[in-house]
Amino acid sequence: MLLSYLGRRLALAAVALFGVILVAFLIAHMVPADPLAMVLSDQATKDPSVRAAYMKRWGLDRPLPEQFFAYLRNVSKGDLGESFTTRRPVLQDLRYFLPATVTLSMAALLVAIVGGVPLGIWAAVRHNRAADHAARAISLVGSASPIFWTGLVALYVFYYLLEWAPGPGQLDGHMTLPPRMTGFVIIDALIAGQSDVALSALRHLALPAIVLGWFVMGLIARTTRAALLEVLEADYVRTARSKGVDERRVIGAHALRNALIPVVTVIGLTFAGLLSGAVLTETVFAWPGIGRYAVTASTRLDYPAILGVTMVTAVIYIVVNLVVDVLYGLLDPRIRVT
Amino acid sequence: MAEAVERLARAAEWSLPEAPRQSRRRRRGALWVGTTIVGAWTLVAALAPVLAPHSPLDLDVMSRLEPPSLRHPFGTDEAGRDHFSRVMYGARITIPIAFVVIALATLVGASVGAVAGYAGGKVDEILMRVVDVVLAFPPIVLAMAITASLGAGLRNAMLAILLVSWPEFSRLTRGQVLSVRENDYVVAARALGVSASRILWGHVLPNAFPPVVVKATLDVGNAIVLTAALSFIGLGAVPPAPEWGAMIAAGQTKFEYWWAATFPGLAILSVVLGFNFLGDGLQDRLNPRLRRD
Repeated sequence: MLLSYLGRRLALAAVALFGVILVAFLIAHMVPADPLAMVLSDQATKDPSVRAAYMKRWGLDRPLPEQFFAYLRNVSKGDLGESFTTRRPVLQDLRYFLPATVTLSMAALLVAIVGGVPLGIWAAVRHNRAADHAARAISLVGSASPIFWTGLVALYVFYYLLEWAPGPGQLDGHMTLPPRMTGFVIIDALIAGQSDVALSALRHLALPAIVLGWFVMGLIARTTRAALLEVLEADYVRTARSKGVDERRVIGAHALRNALIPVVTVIGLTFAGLLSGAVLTETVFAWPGIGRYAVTASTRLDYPAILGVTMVTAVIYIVVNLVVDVLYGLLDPRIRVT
Repeated sequence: MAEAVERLARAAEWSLPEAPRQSRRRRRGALWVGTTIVGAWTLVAALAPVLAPHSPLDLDVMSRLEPPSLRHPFGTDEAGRDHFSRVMYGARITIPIAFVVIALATLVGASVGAVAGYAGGKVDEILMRVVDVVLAFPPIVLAMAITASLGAGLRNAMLAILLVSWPEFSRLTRGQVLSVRENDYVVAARALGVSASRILWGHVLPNAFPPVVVKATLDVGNAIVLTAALSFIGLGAVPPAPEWGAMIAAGQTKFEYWWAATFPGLAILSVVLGFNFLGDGLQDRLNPRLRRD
C-alpha cells in the first residue's frame, strides 16, 4: 500500500516536472522579440545568410516539437542557456544566488512557525474570546497586506525612524563578503573566522525574515487553531479531561500531538507562498537571491535568466511537496489506504 | 501534490466546528464590513472624477513632495501631483482589472473543473495534470515570466494573472462536482434519461457553485495584490498612470517622504481586507447547511 502510494506520488511529480519544462519552453516561444536580435549585431541580423546560418546552428529552423526535445535534453543536462545580462550560464548564476534565498526563506519559515503555532494554540484554547479574535485579526491583516509594501513600512519604521535594524542588503556597506565556501554568507563567515561579518549578516537577515515570515504566519496560525479545535472535540480528549488530567497536559500531551499533523502539511505548502513572497521581499531589501535576480532579469528582458528562475522555483516546489506527501504518508497511516 | 492541496482545502474548512450562533454572528458581521469596504471603494472608483480634488496627472512643480496637509491630505509626489486624487483614481484601474480577470479565471477554471469532475477517467486525469503543472509555479514568478515575455504593460499583466489564477478554480469545482454528482437528485435525473450536459449545467453546477463564488471573491483580493506587485516591479502599469503598485515603487527609496508609499499601500490593504471579509461572509450566506444550524 505504502509503496503504491509512493509510486503514484513519484509518477505525478515526474509528469509535473515534464509539464513545467514544457511551460517554460512555450513561454520562451511567446516572446515577440526576434531572438537573433538579442545576440547578433544590427547588421548581422539583417543579413539573410547570417540569419539562416544561426537559425540552423541553434535549430530554430526545426519543427517546434523537435526544438522542444532538444530543449528538454539540454535542461536535463543542466544547461539552461546563458544570461543576456551577466553573460554566464544561468545555472551558474542560480547556484550563486540560491543560498541567499534559501537563508531568507528558512529564517522566515522559522519566524512563521515560532509565531504561528503558539498563536494558533492560544486562539484555539481561548476559542471565541478576545485572544481568538486578536489572532484572527493578525492573520487577516498579515495575509491582506502586499508584502512589498509591508517591507517598505518595516524599513521605514525600524531602519529609518528607530534605527534598530540595519538597512537593505546582506551585509554592512563597509564589509566584504567572506571567501565563498558554501555560498551561505553566515556559514562562510564563521568558517573564515570573521565573527563580525557573521553577526552583521544575522542582523541584516532579521527584518526581511520577519516581514516574509509574518506573511505566511497567518496561514500556519489558522491551520493550527482549526486542527486543534477539531482534536479538542475528540473522545480521547474528553476522556482525559474527565479523568481529571490537568488541562495543560490535555493540550500539550494529547491534543497537540495529533493536531500538528496537518500543520506539517501546511508548512510544506507555505513554501510556494514563501518563494513568491521572497521574490518581492528580496527586491525591497536588496537581498541578493534568485528573486531579485529574476526581477532584474524580467525588467531587462533577459529571458534565459527569468525562465531559469521560473523553472527552478517550480522544481523546488514539486520536490518539497513530494517530500511532504511522503512524510504525510509515513506520519498518518490512514492516507496510505486511500 | 494534488493530495496535499486538497488537504489544505479541508484544513480551511475545519473552521466549521465553532459554536454555530457565535460563528454566524461573526460571519454576518464580516459580510457587513466587507460589503461596506468594497462598496465604498466601488463608489470611489466610479465617482473619482467628481470626488477627487485635483487631477491625478497634472504636474505642479511648485509643490513637489509636500507632506500631507489640508490642501493635499495624502501629500504630493515628486512631480507635485496630488496623492489623494491619485489614490482615488487608482481604484479605477485596479478594481475593474482584478474583477474582470477573476471573472474570466472563474469561467475558464470552473468549466475545466466541471468537465473533469463530470467526465472522470482519462479526461479528468489529463486536465488535472495540466492544473498541477500550473500550480507548481509560484504565481508571481510565472506571472513575471509571462508578462516579461509578452512585454510590460497592464494588458499583458492581466493576461498573466488570468493564466496563473484559473487552475485553483478547476480543482475546487472538480471536487465540488464529484461530491454533488453522487446526490440522489442527480442519480434520479440520470435514471430519468436526462442528457449529460443538462445534468451538469442544470443540476450539478448550481449546487457545486457556492464555494467557487466564495473563492472568486477572495481571489479578487489576490488579483489586486498581484497587479500591484507586477506594477511595483515595473512590468505592469507605466509610471504616470495612478496605479497603486507603481506609486509604491515611485515612493520606495524616499524614506523622508513617507507618504508617497504609505497611502497607496493602505489603499491596497483596505480593499483586499474588504474582499476577504466579503468572501468570509458570503461563505455563510451561500451555504444552506450552515445557515440552518
